Formats: sequence, structure tokens, C-alpha cells
Amino acid sequence: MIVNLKSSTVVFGVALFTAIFFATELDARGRGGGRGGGGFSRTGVASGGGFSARSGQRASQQVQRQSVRTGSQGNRQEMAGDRQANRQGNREEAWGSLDDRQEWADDSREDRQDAIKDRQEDRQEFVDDELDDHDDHWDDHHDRWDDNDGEFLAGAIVGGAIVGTAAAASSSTTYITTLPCTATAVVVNGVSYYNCSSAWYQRSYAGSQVAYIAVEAPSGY
Amino acid sequence: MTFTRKVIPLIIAGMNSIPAYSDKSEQEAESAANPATQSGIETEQKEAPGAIDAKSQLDGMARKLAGARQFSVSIHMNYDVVQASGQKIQFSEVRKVQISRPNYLRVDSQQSDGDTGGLIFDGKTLALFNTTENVYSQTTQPGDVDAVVRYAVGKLGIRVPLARMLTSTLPQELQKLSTTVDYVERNILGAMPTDHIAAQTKNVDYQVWIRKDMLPTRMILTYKNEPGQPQFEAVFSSWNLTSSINDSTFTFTPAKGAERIPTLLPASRPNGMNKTQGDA
Repeated sequence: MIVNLKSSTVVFGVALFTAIFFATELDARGRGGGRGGGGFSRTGVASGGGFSARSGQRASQQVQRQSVRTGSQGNRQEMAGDRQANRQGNREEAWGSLDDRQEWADDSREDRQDAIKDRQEDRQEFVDDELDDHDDHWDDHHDRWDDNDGEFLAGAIVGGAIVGTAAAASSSTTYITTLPCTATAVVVNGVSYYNCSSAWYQRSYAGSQVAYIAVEAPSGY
Repeated sequence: MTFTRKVIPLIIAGMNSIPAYSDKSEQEAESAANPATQSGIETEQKEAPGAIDAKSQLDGMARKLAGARQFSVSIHMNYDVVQASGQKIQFSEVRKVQISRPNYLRVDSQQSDGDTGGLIFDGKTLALFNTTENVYSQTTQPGDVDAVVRYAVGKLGIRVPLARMLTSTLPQELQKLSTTVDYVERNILGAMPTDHIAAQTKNVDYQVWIRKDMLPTRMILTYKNEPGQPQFEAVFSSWNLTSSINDSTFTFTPAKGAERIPTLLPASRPNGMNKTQGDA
């Protein structure tokens, strides 16, 4: 596991972290205390309870996509900004048109399926195209966090709880759902740190679950 | 569509021997109050309500929920998780959902392993909290319940089972997603008779049991194209669409000693990053 940590300035009032994470999700969540003691994964497609599901979207596919994405992250950030207004418009139009829809989906089903399939293929290469698919599958996105196959996922920090702490918002780090050791929390400036050999972790939400992200050692350690 | 009930002889025999299951007076009152379901019942066709009624029933449920100014409900959820070995394991969770439209949402959940937490949205800030870990996170996301549900599920990857049922666009979404909608039967078991509706989307088959007041009592989602075809089941109880919910319910106050932690955002949705107003 390669962890490339880079400290960033502690920023107050800045809305957004766009740092990219490489994240390794390990099987079974929680630490100690009998939780997940059987080693069974408790998340999957059905745990999301969505009315839609992207069939066949498995971890290996994600890895492929992620690697493509992270390779051109800088470009995509710019493009995403440029396209923002455009996409927003498209999406609202799509949703607005639903109000006029009197018939059930039977008629347009085949067309839509073809379109969706095409878009899914495109998604392998173009992240933005995913949004075209958004309407049908928005309640399925949870399972990006749910592949317990030890695969890599990418993530960024939002809702800057890390702000104002001594922790590092790094350009690259990891998250795990189970600590590799039995660690006792070390509280520094109100933030709990967990130490396993030379690695330090701090808690963070990954989807609905509390996970651990790799951080620099707190001051004094 | 006619659905096969392979165990008909056993079930009928069992039913006849257990008269307690049939609350005759309630059934009659039910039928009298709802003439639509009466037509054709005495003929050889048990399928009386038909496909059109199935859609209108489903739509009626969707509109009831979507049009509610506020509601609260407890949902007991069971869901399968197909393990890497192929073994199917079922987990459970109880969620209490409270919505006061347009801007307030609260979900309290307790997993079968004891993990307790939830989310609260007050029109401006989405708070996630986990009382087991005693942590919380807050993300600024101005908007209404519809928007925050889509943001939480679609952008942050937060589990909100049956998320679509929390949105005011539920009727349109079910119409858009559903490729077939059929009437299975009138289910006379339980405290209230229900209409059993079976529908399909591209990758999910779902069934819903709808009682006379158009509220669902139960729902099953089958992920038919997933390995092992895992199911998600929800049993609804304590529906309340009339009592207004105190605003303080939707005010997030961190528990004593709770630690604020960040939220990871999947990088696969750069759009989410741009839209996000992370607060400091």
C-alpha cells in the first residue's frame, strides 16, 4: 500500500477540498467489539434498497475506470467546471420532461436500454457521461463504497471537518474500514488518531460508514 | 398477468383450518368501502382489479407519499448480502424516517449489529451522525428534501434505502423506471388487507403491498441481475401523515463528546465536487 501524503494548509472558510484519494476498502467493517466478527460483508447491492441497480458494475470495472480518471484528473477538473452549467441544464430538462410523461415506460423501454448501454460503455472513458445516466441510477451510487474486494476507489474530502485540525488533507491517501491493528485512540486537539506501526489514521465518513483515512502523525508523535 | 402460486393446495388447506386469519367483518367493511375491488369478485376471475388497477394503485401510493406535507414511518429492513463465497447472508436494520417538506428530513437507523446513527437535514446542512462511534459530519448543501436525498445517495454514496420514496418525484420515477406493473392478489392477512402489486424495472423486480389508505405495508426489491439475486425487504409500520413534526426534530445537536469528522466524496463524480459547498 503506497501512501503519498502531502500536507496542505489548514484553511478556514474554504468550501471545498478536491483532493483525490486512493482508497483501499477492506473486508468487514468496524474495529473490535464483536462487530463484523464473522468476517461477513454486510453491504452489497441489496443493502442500498434502490429501485435501480447497475448490473455488472463490479469492482474490476471500477478499478479500470478509476485508473483512467486519476490519470487525467487535472484536465477533468477543468472540464467539469466548464461543463457544469451545460450539464445542469440538460438534467433539469430531463427531469422537467417527466412531468409531461403520461404513459408508462413500456414504449420507450428498448430505446432507453440501448441508450443506457451505450452510455455505460462511454463511461469507461468519460466520467462526465455518467451524468446522462444519473436520472435512472442515482439511488444506486451507494455501492461505489460497497465493494469489499480490496479494490481501489477514489475519493475526495467534502464538508471540511479536517479543517482546523492538525491533520493533513493530502493529495493522496487511503481509507480502510478496519484498522490493521487494535489501536487505542490518541486525541490531539479534539481529533482522534489511531496508530498502527508507523501509520496513523483518522476517522472519516465513506458513504454511510465510518472509515479510517491515512494521515500524518499528530504533532508530538 | 396471472401469477403462479405453486403451493396452492397446502396454503388453502392451511388457511381453512385457521379461521382466526380471516377477520370477516373487517373484510366486508373493506369491500363495501371500496366498490372497485368488488366487481368481478364473484365470477371465476380472481384477477378482477387487473393491470390498469395495479398501475393506479401503485401510482396512488406514490402520489400519496409524494404529496404528503409531512410523514413519519418506521421501517424494518432485511437485506441479503451475497458474500464472495456465494453464501447469502441476511442483515437487518430499523429506520425511522421523518420528513417535513420541503426542507426537513431525519433518518434514525439501528443496524442489527448495534451500529446506531442517522442523518438530519434542515434545508441547509446535511449532518451524518453515528452514536456508536460518537462521530458526526456536516456538509452544507442548501436545498429541499428531494435535492438532499439525491445529493446524499447520488453524490456522497450514503445509504438511504428506498431513497426514491422520500422524494416528491416518486410517481414520475416509478413510472419512468417501471416496465411492467401487475396485480397479484388481494392479501387478506394481517391487520389490514392489502393489494399486492408486482412491478419490474430493468434490473430490479419489486413488490409492494398497499393498504386501503394507499400506504405501503411491505415492499420487496429483488436484484434479479445480480449474482445470487439478493433481496431487500421493508416492512412499514407507524405511518403518520397527519401530525406535524416539531422543527426541533430536525435540528442537529452533536452528542456530548462527539467528534466531527470529514466526509469522503467519491472522485468518480467531479460534478459533485463542483456543486459541493463544504463548510469550514
